[in-house]
Amino acid sequence: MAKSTDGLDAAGLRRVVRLGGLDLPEERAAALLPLYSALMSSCDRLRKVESDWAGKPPPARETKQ
Amino acid sequence: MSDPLFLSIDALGAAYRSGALSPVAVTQQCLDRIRACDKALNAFITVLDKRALERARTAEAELRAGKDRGPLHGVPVGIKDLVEMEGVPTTFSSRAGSPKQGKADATVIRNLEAAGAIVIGKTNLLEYAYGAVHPDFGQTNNPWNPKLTSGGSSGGSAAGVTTGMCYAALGTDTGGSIRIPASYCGCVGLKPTYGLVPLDGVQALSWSLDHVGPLARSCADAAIFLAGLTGRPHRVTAPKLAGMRLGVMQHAGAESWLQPEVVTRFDEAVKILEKAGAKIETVAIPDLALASDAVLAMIGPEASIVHQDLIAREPEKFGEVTRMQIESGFAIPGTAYVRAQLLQQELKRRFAALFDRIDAVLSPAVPWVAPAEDPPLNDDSGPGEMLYSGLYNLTGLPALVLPMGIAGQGLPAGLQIVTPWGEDDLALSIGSVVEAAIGPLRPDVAALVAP
Repeated sequence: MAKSTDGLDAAGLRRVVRLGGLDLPEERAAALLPLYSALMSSCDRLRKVESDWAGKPPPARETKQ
Repeated sequence: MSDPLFLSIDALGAAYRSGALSPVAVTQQCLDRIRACDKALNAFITVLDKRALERARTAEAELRAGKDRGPLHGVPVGIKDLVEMEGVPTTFSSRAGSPKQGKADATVIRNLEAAGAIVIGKTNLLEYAYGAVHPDFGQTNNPWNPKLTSGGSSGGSAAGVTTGMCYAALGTDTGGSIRIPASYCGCVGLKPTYGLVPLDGVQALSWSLDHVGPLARSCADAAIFLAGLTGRPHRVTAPKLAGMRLGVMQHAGAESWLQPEVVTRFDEAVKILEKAGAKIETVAIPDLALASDAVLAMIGPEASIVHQDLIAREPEKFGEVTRMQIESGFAIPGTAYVRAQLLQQELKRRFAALFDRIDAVLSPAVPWVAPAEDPPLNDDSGPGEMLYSGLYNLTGLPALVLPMGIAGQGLPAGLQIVTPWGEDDLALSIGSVVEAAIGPLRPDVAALVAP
């Protein structure tokens, strides 16, 4: 059975998409697995983002345009 | 007179006001050019012949009567087919939710028409500006080689401007959709500062990253069109390049994408600016390589929310790639979306610090010349195509692309100039120096004429 790179099969991906707000037939979820895997690779790389970047003010130059 | 359809907007205006040319005759010539070349290019979805000629007659009468609306008065322009116009259908290059009859004019249409511009038609795009061609609409072919793409998603606007079908055109840019077609087609494209151009009446893709801006044949024309879009003055001035500090941005991993002739043209463009007095240095910003990932993590869920009703109601009417992108956006974790927002804010702070000591940032627009088709977002080349563009959607900085010469296979390549927020005119002014040194690039329009 085909799985995404993070181990989801079509039924699992269908549940994740439904949690996001869209009902899909399982065969559609199966077709989405490669694209979902590519997107999850992008999301995984974003784990490098540091939490202490939160809460800092925006640059003054941006806001005074 | 040389081909009037390739005059600058200023020169066209002078010819109108001297009586050498008339808005009606020029609008008719643009319509004739579309009819002659669009079989090869597929740049226009809707051509507004009757409406455009009526507006041209009004413009002509107004100019004769001394009612002068300014530099766009009587100038034929194109509008990407995702902008609402009263009484005109919008297709979004999709069968889903399409065609949609316009009930009111978007603010940008009101502004352009108040400035006297004549909307000649609605231009082709990637479906809902989301990175893929709908097979019923087809891609816009490249004016330099119709077997290749004009780029997306504002390819119809870029091809129309490049071939004299119109003098300027509206594009939208969420990850590079103005600048990538400008680079592939050899014209000028400006993604303005985030929020500078009003977005109401313009179909959203990703509200955090969406921008509206001009495609034109010169920096001066782009400034005139930007003024038309915003209703505020914008202009190109002779920049004092002596002592100006320009940074060549380093992008980790770019070597694997960059075509050698693009590098050569870029180095030559940098030398033009250096010779004009600018001080050139290499600059880098940590974590820049994550910008494309952040763009994807933001576009995905935002586009899915934008299209949530349509994708539930008539999913089969979307092209397959667009449909899959919208469906998969519902699965992107909230944590990834928030990390993308954190990176967005951090990159803004880092660019603000960089712009304390640098006046503008330079890079190629795209690592390569026009390919046969627009690469899908989900394969390896999709992120490569927006390597240099997506980060400026994320940061909202103004980013200009203009031709820097022919870079292999007879195809143009683009230079990108990025300036601080609100300094869009500075980018256009710096660009005008390169433009003057390189001269205009023009494809062989006669070769595009249908037999």
